Amino acid sequence: MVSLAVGTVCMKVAGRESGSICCVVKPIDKTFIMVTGPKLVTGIKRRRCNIEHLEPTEIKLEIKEDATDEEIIEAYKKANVITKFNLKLPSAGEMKAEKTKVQANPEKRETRKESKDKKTEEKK
Amino acid sequence: MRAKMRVKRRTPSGKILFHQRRERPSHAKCANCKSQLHGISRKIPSEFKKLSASEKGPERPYGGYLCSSCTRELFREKARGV
Repeated sequence: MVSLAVGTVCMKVAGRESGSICCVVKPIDKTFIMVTGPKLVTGIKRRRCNIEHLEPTEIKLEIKEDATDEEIIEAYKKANVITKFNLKLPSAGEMKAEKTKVQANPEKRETRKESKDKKTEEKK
Repeated sequence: MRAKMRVKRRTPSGKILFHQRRERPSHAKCANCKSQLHGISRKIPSEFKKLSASEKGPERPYGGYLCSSCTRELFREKARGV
Protein backbone atom coordinates (compact mmCIF):
# COMPACT_ATOMS: atom_id res chain seq x y z
CA MET A 1 0.00 0.00 0.00
CA VAL A 2 1.52 3.32 -0.99
CA SER A 3 2.08 5.57 2.02
CA LEU A 4 -0.55 8.29 2.05
CA ALA A 5 0.49 11.95 1.97
CA VAL A 6 -0.87 14.41 4.52
CA GLY A 7 -4.20 15.84 3.46
CA THR A 8 -5.43 13.09 1.17
CA VAL A 9 -9.14 12.44 1.68
CA CYS A 10 -9.80 8.73 1.98
CA MET A 11 -12.68 6.42 2.76
CA LYS A 12 -12.50 3.88 5.55
CA VAL A 13 -13.28 0.44 4.15
CA ALA A 14 -13.05 -1.73 7.26
CA GLY A 15 -14.58 -1.67 10.68
CA ARG A 16 -17.74 -0.11 11.99
CA GLU A 17 -16.87 3.25 10.42
CA SER A 18 -16.45 1.74 6.96
CA GLY A 19 -17.88 3.86 4.21
CA SER A 20 -17.22 7.17 5.93
CA ILE A 21 -14.81 9.87 4.89
CA CYS A 22 -11.64 10.92 6.69
CA CYS A 23 -8.47 12.81 5.91
CA VAL A 24 -4.86 11.98 6.70
CA VAL A 25 -3.33 14.18 9.40
CA LYS A 26 0.05 12.72 10.22
CA PRO A 27 2.05 9.62 9.20
CA ILE A 28 3.13 7.47 12.16
CA ASP A 29 5.12 4.64 10.60
CA LYS A 30 5.05 2.13 7.76
CA THR A 31 1.68 0.67 8.60
CA PHE A 32 -0.13 3.32 10.66
CA ILE A 33 -1.19 6.89 10.04
CA MET A 34 -3.09 9.43 12.14
CA VAL A 35 -6.50 10.12 10.66
CA THR A 36 -9.44 12.33 11.62
CA GLY A 37 -12.97 12.68 10.36
CA PRO A 38 -13.53 15.09 12.17
CA LYS A 39 -15.90 13.23 14.47
CA LEU A 40 -18.79 15.69 14.17
CA VAL A 41 -18.74 15.76 10.38
CA THR A 42 -18.09 12.20 9.35
CA GLY A 43 -18.10 10.21 12.56
CA ILE A 44 -14.44 9.21 12.56
CA LYS A 45 -12.58 10.60 15.55
CA ARG A 46 -8.92 11.56 15.50
CA ARG A 47 -7.34 8.14 15.71
CA ARG A 48 -4.47 5.98 14.59
CA CYS A 49 -5.54 3.88 11.64
CA ASN A 50 -4.04 1.07 9.62
CA ILE A 51 -3.28 2.08 6.02
CA GLU A 52 -4.76 -1.21 4.84
CA HIS A 53 -8.18 -0.12 6.16
CA LEU A 54 -8.23 3.05 4.04
CA GLU A 55 -8.86 3.66 0.37
CA PRO A 56 -7.56 7.04 -0.94
CA THR A 57 -9.76 9.14 -3.18
CA GLU A 58 -8.36 11.64 -5.67
CA ILE A 59 -9.28 14.63 -3.48
CA LYS A 60 -6.34 16.28 -1.70
CA LEU A 61 -6.54 18.99 0.97
CA GLU A 62 -3.87 21.63 1.49
CA ILE A 63 -3.41 21.32 5.24
CA LYS A 64 -0.28 21.33 7.34
CA GLU A 65 0.64 18.31 9.43
CA ASP A 66 -1.38 17.80 12.63
CA ALA A 67 -3.95 20.38 11.59
CA THR A 68 -6.84 21.13 13.91
CA ASP A 69 -10.39 20.06 13.11
CA GLU A 70 -11.47 23.62 12.21
CA GLU A 71 -8.77 23.89 9.52
CA ILE A 72 -9.86 20.56 8.11
CA ILE A 73 -13.49 21.66 7.95
CA GLU A 74 -12.42 24.83 6.10
CA ALA A 75 -10.39 22.72 3.67
CA TYR A 76 -13.40 20.43 3.20
CA LYS A 77 -15.49 23.42 2.21
CA LYS A 78 -12.87 24.65 -0.25
CA ALA A 79 -12.52 21.24 -1.90
CA ASN A 80 -16.36 20.99 -1.88
CA VAL A 81 -16.10 17.62 -0.15
CA ILE A 82 -19.21 18.53 1.80
CA THR A 83 -21.42 18.63 -1.27
CA LYS A 84 -19.80 15.64 -2.94
CA PHE A 85 -20.37 13.29 0.00
CA ASN A 86 -23.38 15.32 1.24
CA LEU A 87 -22.00 15.57 4.75
CA LYS A 88 -23.78 17.56 7.44
CA LEU A 89 -21.80 20.43 8.94
CA PRO A 90 -22.03 20.59 12.77
CA SER A 91 -23.64 23.67 14.31
CA ALA A 92 -21.49 26.07 16.35
CA GLY A 93 -23.02 24.76 19.59
CA GLU A 94 -21.90 21.19 18.81
CA MET A 95 -18.39 22.40 18.05
CA LYS A 96 -18.20 24.18 21.43
CA ALA A 97 -19.57 21.12 23.26
CA GLU A 98 -17.02 18.91 21.53
CA LYS A 99 -14.18 21.26 22.50
CA THR A 100 -15.11 21.36 26.19
CA LYS A 101 -15.52 17.58 26.19
CA VAL A 102 -12.01 17.11 24.75
CA GLN A 103 -10.46 19.41 27.34
CA ALA A 104 -12.29 17.59 30.14
CA ASN A 105 -10.61 14.21 29.43
CA PRO A 106 -7.56 14.62 27.16
CA GLU A 107 -7.23 12.12 24.28
CA LYS A 108 -3.95 10.68 25.54
CA ARG A 109 -4.78 7.74 27.87
CA GLU A 110 -1.94 6.09 29.75
CA THR A 111 -1.15 2.99 27.70
CA ARG A 112 -0.43 -0.30 29.45
CA LYS A 113 3.26 -0.10 28.51
CA GLU A 114 3.71 3.27 30.23
CA SER A 115 1.98 2.09 33.40
CA LYS A 116 4.18 -1.02 33.40
CA ASP A 117 7.37 1.07 33.08
CA LYS A 118 6.21 3.26 35.95
CA LYS A 119 5.76 0.21 38.20
CA THR A 120 9.24 -1.12 37.43
CA GLU A 121 10.77 2.27 38.30
CA GLU A 122 8.99 2.36 41.64
CA LYS A 123 10.32 -1.10 42.45
CA LYS A 124 13.94 0.01 41.92
CA MET B 1 -42.92 -30.12 9.16
CA ARG B 2 -39.21 -29.83 9.89
CA ALA B 3 -37.93 -33.13 11.35
CA LYS B 4 -37.66 -32.79 15.16
CA MET B 5 -34.50 -34.02 16.83
CA ARG B 6 -35.09 -36.49 19.71
CA VAL B 7 -32.82 -36.02 22.70
CA LYS B 8 -32.57 -38.41 25.68
CA ARG B 9 -33.18 -36.68 28.98
CA ARG B 10 -33.29 -38.10 32.54
CA THR B 11 -36.43 -36.83 34.30
CA PRO B 12 -36.59 -36.09 38.09
CA SER B 13 -38.48 -39.36 38.62
CA GLY B 14 -35.43 -41.21 37.32
CA LYS B 15 -36.96 -42.30 34.03
CA ILE B 16 -35.19 -41.59 30.71
CA LEU B 17 -37.48 -39.92 28.21
CA PHE B 18 -37.13 -38.58 24.69
CA HIS B 19 -37.44 -34.80 24.49
CA GLN B 20 -38.08 -33.13 21.12
CA ARG B 21 -35.88 -30.29 19.92
CA ARG B 22 -35.83 -28.44 16.57
CA GLU B 23 -32.66 -28.82 14.47
CA ARG B 24 -30.34 -25.83 14.35
CA PRO B 25 -30.50 -23.90 11.07
CA SER B 26 -27.44 -23.79 8.80
CA HIS B 27 -24.75 -21.05 8.88
CA ALA B 28 -25.65 -17.56 7.65
CA LYS B 29 -24.13 -16.95 4.21
CA CYS B 30 -22.74 -13.86 2.51
CA ALA B 31 -25.09 -12.43 -0.09
CA ASN B 32 -22.70 -12.35 -3.02
CA CYS B 33 -19.83 -14.71 -2.28
CA LYS B 34 -21.87 -17.30 -0.37
CA SER B 35 -19.15 -17.76 2.25
CA GLN B 36 -20.02 -18.31 5.92
CA LEU B 37 -20.63 -15.15 7.91
CA HIS B 38 -18.71 -14.70 11.16
CA GLY B 39 -20.32 -13.64 14.41
CA ILE B 40 -23.84 -14.92 13.73
CA SER B 41 -25.00 -17.74 16.01
CA ARG B 42 -26.99 -20.62 14.53
CA LYS B 43 -30.22 -20.27 16.47
CA ILE B 44 -33.88 -20.78 15.65
CA PRO B 45 -35.70 -17.47 15.25
CA SER B 46 -37.49 -17.72 18.63
CA GLU B 47 -34.09 -17.86 20.39
CA PHE B 48 -32.86 -14.88 18.37
CA LYS B 49 -35.54 -12.70 19.96
CA LYS B 50 -33.91 -13.07 23.40
CA LEU B 51 -30.50 -11.90 22.13
CA SER B 52 -29.51 -8.24 22.32
CA ALA B 53 -28.82 -6.40 19.07
CA SER B 54 -25.04 -6.65 19.40
CA GLU B 55 -25.16 -10.42 19.95
CA LYS B 56 -27.01 -11.03 16.69
CA GLY B 57 -24.19 -10.04 14.38
CA PRO B 58 -21.34 -7.64 13.59
CA GLU B 59 -22.11 -3.94 13.85
CA ARG B 60 -20.41 -3.12 10.54
CA PRO B 61 -22.42 -1.64 7.68
CA TYR B 62 -23.89 -4.63 5.82
CA GLY B 63 -22.93 -6.54 9.02
CA GLY B 64 -25.08 -9.64 8.81
CA TYR B 65 -25.58 -9.46 5.05
CA LEU B 66 -22.15 -9.31 3.39
CA CYS B 67 -18.90 -10.83 4.56
CA SER B 68 -16.07 -8.49 5.58
CA SER B 69 -14.06 -8.86 2.36
CA CYS B 70 -17.13 -8.17 0.22
CA THR B 71 -17.90 -4.95 2.10
CA ARG B 72 -14.27 -3.87 1.66
CA GLU B 73 -14.45 -4.33 -2.12
CA LEU B 74 -17.78 -2.54 -2.22
CA PHE B 75 -16.46 0.53 -0.41
CA ARG B 76 -13.16 0.49 -2.31
CA GLU B 77 -15.05 0.77 -5.62
CA LYS B 78 -17.22 3.49 -4.12
CA ALA B 79 -14.10 5.45 -3.10
CA ARG B 80 -12.50 4.96 -6.50
CA GLY B 81 -15.66 6.00 -8.31
CA VAL B 82 -15.58 9.46 -6.73
